[in-house]
Amino acid sequence: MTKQAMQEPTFLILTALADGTRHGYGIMTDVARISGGRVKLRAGTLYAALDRLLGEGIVAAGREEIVGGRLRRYYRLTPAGAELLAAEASRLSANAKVATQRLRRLRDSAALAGRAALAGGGA
Amino acid sequence: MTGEAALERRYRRLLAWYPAKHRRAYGEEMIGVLMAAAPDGASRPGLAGACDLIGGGLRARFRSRLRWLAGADWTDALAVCSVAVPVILASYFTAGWLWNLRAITPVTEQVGRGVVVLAIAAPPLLALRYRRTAALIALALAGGYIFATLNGISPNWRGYWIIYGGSISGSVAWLLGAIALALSPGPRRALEILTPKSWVVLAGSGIAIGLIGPYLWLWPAWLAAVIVLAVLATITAAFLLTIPGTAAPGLLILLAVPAYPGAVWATFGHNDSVVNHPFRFPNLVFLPTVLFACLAVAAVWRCRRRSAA
Repeated sequence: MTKQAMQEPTFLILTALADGTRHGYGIMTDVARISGGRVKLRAGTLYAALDRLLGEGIVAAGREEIVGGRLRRYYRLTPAGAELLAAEASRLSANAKVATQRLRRLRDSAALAGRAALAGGGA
Repeated sequence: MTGEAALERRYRRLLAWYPAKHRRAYGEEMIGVLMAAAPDGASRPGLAGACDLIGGGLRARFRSRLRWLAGADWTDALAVCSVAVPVILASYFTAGWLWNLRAITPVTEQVGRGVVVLAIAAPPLLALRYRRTAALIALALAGGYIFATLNGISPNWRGYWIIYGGSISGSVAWLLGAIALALSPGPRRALEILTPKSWVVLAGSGIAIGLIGPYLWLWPAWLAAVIVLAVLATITAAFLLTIPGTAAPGLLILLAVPAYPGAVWATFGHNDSVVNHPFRFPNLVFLPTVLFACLAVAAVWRCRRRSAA
């Protein structure tokens, strides 16, 4: 059976946690930074993902603290989560490598065709 | 009230879309994140943020329902089903049979009804010793029931067997009982699971359906619908309260397959404007029945595949 590809928000959340423990708002801001502002997680999406990832043992909840009267809970990547993220990163990297190689070949053949057309026009 | 307090109150109201368990686990933390992420001076949540919270809440509620179903033990559900269906059917036919004893009906018909009850009860009893043989006999009896029903339907209705809810409900129930016998540990496991209260509820369900069902046509469709819904809700609650372990959710899904067409037929079957509608009624009966059946088959298949892995 083929494994389903990880969704981008999940990948970005795990990537944020790969840098160390983060609280919810910290994950949101880090995800925005990693994605260059393209992905803006909202609280509903973030906590739905965290609930699922906690249930699957991919992230774990750590210490809690009260800052400015608000509860903060810190999350970290578990060893299983790190393994999953590494596998997904290498899958994406392999896909990107193939895409890059093919695009280079496509550009090369287009350049060759262009040169051939120029040569034909000049004859 | 300050803008910040108003915003917090509105966020808390939006969090009511989440199940209580989710709110207990993440509620205060989410409020902290929402307030930290809110633009300065905002006193109400933005539309996108509100939609995200509502969507998240609904998804969380849906997921918790799925978890309830995913936690179902389908092997046990099938084992219970292998006796639940015969008990419900036998009670249903017995109730109708005893009720009709008062009326002057031919002796052959009374004997015939008695034979039907015996035919329903025989396979699960036989399965205590010879499960596979009992399953084969149950399948043969189901085929016989379907054949007899097809021939028993008045000529006007024969072409519409698939939408004749009473027949399809009975036929699917007989088939379900036979399949449950074939695919599960059978009545031996069911005897371990079911308590005396469960048996009373199963028999009571059949008797209630047998006594109420045939007389629903006396009432207007809306009242019949209310009665049917009340009976189904009571039976569902009674199953959940009295069938121990994780068999109840699966059993309810399995029993929904034959129950649905019967319930629709009992409610609308005598309403000519609904029944004779060229499109609506067949779809009303047929499509959801097929949907329930597919859901049950998929769940059982997944369970068997997982246990084989």
